[in-house]
Amino acid sequence: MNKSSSKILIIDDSVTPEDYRVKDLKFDYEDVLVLNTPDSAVEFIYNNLDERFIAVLDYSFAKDIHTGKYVLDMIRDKTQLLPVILWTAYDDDVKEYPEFINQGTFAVVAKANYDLLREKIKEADEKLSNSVDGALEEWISHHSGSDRYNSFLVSSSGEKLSLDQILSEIRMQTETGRYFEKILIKLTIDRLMRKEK
Amino acid sequence: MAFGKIISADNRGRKKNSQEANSSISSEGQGLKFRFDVSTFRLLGRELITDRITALFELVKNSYDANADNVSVEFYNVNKVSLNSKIIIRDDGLGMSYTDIKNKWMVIGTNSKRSSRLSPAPYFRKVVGQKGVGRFAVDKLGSTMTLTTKRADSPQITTLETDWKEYEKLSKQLDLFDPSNEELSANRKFFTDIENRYWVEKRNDDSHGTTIEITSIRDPWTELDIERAYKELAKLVSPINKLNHPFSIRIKSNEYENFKDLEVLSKAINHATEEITVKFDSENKLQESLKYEKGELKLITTPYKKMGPVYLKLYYFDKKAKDIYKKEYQGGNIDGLKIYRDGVITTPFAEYEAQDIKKRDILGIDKRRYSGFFDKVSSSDLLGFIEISETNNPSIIDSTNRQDFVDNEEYRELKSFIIEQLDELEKYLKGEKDREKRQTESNLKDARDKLKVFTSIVRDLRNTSPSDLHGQFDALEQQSIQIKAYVERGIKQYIDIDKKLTRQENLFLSLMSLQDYALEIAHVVRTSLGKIAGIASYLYRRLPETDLNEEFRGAAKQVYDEMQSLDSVVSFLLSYAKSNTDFKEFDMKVLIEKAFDMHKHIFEKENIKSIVEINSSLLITHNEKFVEDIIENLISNSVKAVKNNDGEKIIKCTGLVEENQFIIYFSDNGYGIKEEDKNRIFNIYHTSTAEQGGAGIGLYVVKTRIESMKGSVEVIENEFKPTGATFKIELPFNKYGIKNE
Repeated sequence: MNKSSSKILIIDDSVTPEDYRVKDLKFDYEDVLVLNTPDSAVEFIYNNLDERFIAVLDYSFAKDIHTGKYVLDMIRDKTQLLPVILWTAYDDDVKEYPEFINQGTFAVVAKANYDLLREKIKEADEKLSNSVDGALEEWISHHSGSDRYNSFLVSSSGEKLSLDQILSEIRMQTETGRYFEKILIKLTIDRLMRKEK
Repeated sequence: MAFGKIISADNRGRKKNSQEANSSISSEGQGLKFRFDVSTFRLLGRELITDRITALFELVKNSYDANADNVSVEFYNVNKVSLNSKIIIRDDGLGMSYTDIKNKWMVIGTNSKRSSRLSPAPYFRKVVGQKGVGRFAVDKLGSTMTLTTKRADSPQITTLETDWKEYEKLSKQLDLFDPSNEELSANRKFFTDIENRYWVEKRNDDSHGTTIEITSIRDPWTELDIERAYKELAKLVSPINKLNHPFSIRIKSNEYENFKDLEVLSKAINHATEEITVKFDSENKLQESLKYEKGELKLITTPYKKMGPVYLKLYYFDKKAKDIYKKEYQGGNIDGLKIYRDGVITTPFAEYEAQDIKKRDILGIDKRRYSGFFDKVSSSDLLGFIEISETNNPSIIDSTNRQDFVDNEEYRELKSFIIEQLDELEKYLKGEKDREKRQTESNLKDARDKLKVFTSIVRDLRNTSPSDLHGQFDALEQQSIQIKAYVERGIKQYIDIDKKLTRQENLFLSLMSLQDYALEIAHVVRTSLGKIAGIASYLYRRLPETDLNEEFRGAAKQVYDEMQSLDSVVSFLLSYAKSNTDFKEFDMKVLIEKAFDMHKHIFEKENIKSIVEINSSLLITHNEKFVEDIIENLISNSVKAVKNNDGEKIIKCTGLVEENQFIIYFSDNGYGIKEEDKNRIFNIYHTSTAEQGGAGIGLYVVKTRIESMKGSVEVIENEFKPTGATFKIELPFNKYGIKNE
């Protein structure tokens, strides 16, 4: 079976890279990374905003002043595109559930239910594939060849962008990225409609 | 972005066009335009202002920021909503010129409040309004606003009319907006295109201030609603931090007699059972905090914490005091602690919530276990004013959703600080309660002894008195004997009731601490189950790939380890279930030595030197398991604390019998306990050994077990230097053994 190009990021202080859930996920996803503290997770995500990730986020960190809520807030400060799955051992004790929902958490999974976690990761992965950035990434990998590195588009401010750069701009939710995403959707709908006629 | 241009005023029969207004006339439109977009309208108006009392609060805050001395909140014909219903907020603040309206009022996010955190001279008030929220608050009260304003140095009054219905209408249209329709796009109207009528009138005097008249009122205001508004507004200014320039709020109503013209006062607080002030010394940068020691609630000083200095005024009310307070202040609420910044309430505490049950416990006072039970105080027993300032506590920041503060280290420190002060207060209250109990007991015994003397005096007098008085003396003696019997019975009943109460409290505590255990254990079990489920799933999916054989072996080993850990959790649960049942005689010295002996293999493995020095045997009758739990948890805690020592690792237990106490000093030379953690180290979940597998339950067990034996435990100066920890445990005993009730 082909591996998904998504990387899984597990943010949890009780999981090690030796954990069998990590090993199991590695069969199906490009990579599985484990980060044990909220700060290291935020730093990592900020430095890799242009990559295709799915985050699995624990709620409580025994040694840290921050909870998973902080990590989610920090993620959402930069991007809405990264799917975040909350997993917690206290499945009925998180007082900030409404906030998690408002911040677009992809799913909430109890820690003991690993199969559900797999299922939710798979759904998140499918969603990523269907998103503009996911579709674009797939298209680039199949069709573009060297175009991905060459300048492909000139922005209104005169900036030259390659396909890879456009993808990165979309993932980082920059103004250019959001603009490109919008016109791409508009154009696609337009094309579809015309064909139908 | 299309910014509204300055344009001429509508003049339908009204006076208009002062020189200033004339100078900015343009032919492009008919009114002033707000400079913001739809999301700002929704965010600031509808979403941030959650209710109408908060909306009023925001408008009154605006008056405060404008250096007003007086503001009145006036309600006219609001009991039943009609065309005549209106609310007026009138202040004698600085007022605004036409240019102020144009450049400040109509522009969101660039107001003077944000560039300068102080109001103009001579008041220099710390501004409390939030990012232009006030002007949108009006929308929550009614949909039409007429703002009339004048500066002292200006000969003109400017009036502006805003109809929020227009914005609402457009907001709905924008929701349905189809960006692909180019024709519509070209003619699309923006929020910034909506015109607000204004006009200018002349007035040559030095009057000043702003009046906001709100009509098209949304909801009726009953007397109860206005009373709520009164109570909330009374909280705006701290009663303890007197403002240099007083700010008076009045409520007026043409319908309700009680609110005909009533000044809103933050009341002086009387009748509290305890009144406590925690200050700071800005010269030497020292923070006071409470410490209960030897029957007294003292103030100790420590250097400033990261959160900055804090001034705290705390009023505690017992039941009787609460009743008196409520009677005097007509149902006035005793509703917990609030944070004031520079004398004015902070936003998270300014959000109004009518139902007590829905009130947010921002500082976490009532989230504490047993809050309101036994010796724990709850928000309904306390009134407190926590004074911070913009300058001293810059990192305590209201969060943008106005429901709390930004979650950072400083804010957490502030919360812990407050809870610690309450912990000390609780210890003091408990100490006082115990002292009173002992006093009552002693008074009763005193009365009994005096009666005894009285009876014997009566008997002596009888024997030396003439015989015709004997009958009367006999009757007196009989009566005193009877009274003595009553008093003795009373003493016995008092002691019995006290014992019964203690037993009940212990039972409650035991049941409630079982909840804590249950929660902790659920966490441990679920984490473990998660790992095992992961392994099972892995095996199910990957077997029988032979090249993974090593992995499979590792998986089996991990399952085994997890099972062992689950087993130890079950053993712990069982030991808990069995505890509190059998009391028996045992030797404290033998038991402690045995406990150390049982850990011999760990000491050897970790290369730890253990020292046990107990000066004499002490036979006591109690629950042996309790003492075992105490020693085992202390050992386990110390093993984790010394684990990463570079040099020698020592765990030492000294036991002394002193008068009626057995004293244990338990020390290690591990990484020690931070000063700020000394009070909370015994709390459940508070752990500094998480990396070594501490779950934050061990020292909690130690404390609860010791307390159930009527003893005490505290962290004292560490015996080993430079780092380490020493616990001092005092267990009282009588000739029958450790006192258990």
